[in-house]
Amino acid sequence: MEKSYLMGMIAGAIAGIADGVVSTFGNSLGAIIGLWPYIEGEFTISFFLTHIIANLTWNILWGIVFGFAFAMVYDCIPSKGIKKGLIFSLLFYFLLADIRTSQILFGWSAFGEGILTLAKAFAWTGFFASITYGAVLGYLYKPSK
Amino acid sequence: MKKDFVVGLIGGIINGIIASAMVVQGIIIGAYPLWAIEAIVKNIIAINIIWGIIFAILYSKFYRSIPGKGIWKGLVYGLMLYFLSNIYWFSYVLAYGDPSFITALMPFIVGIWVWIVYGFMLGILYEKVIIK
Repeated sequence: MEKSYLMGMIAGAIAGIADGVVSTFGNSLGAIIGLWPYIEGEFTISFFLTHIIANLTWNILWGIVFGFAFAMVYDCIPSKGIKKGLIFSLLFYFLLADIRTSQILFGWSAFGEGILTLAKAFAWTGFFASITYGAVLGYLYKPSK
Repeated sequence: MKKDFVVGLIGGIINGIIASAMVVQGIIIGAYPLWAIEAIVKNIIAINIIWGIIFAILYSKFYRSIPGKGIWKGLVYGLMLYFLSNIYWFSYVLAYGDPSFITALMPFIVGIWVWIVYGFMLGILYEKVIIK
């Protein structure tokens, strides 16, 4: 494997940690401002810990995948540094993964309230999480020459 | 850009038709209720055309970075989209659970065919219309 791909995966994993933390707070914030209903016991320590562990695991895994993709398309993305990471993240992580997921879930929202909540969560939390991910990824990733 | 748009539009229409056919199949085998037909008209065809255009424009922008040659580039791109889109949200359902698992399972299984055909069509159209 090329060194730059490995660098992308490592930077992506670290950015995934930041992404996971922001996702956890983003989800709680969505409930606080009334975007979706509270989950029973949402603001207990055990709920928070379970939630953050799950979010960290999932976001680190996908952070590695998107970090690899970032290293692949790096030369084709305009700008440099953090801006480059943000453009990639908003295009691929937010638009392709989160918004598309949200749109598909909205299409199936008649299946139940839970799906509608998921759809909103992907769009709302995904936006803040992908900005965080892109900024950290862009800052950390340095292509090997 | 205009050519990208035309290629994307054609790819998007094909994408919408295939995705709709998959849902019809789901209705026939009983995985989806009959009212899902409404979702096909309102959501799947229209939205897939829009996504088809967006993905075709992205394809032309990132053409150099996609592995493979000629039409195969399109297939690789289609599979990349499947992975970053369908697998992404299916993994979410697996990790966190979902009130209706079947809604996630169908696009996971049938989605791959949609993206393979879309990728191939995009690859062919791009080589014939844009490159030539």
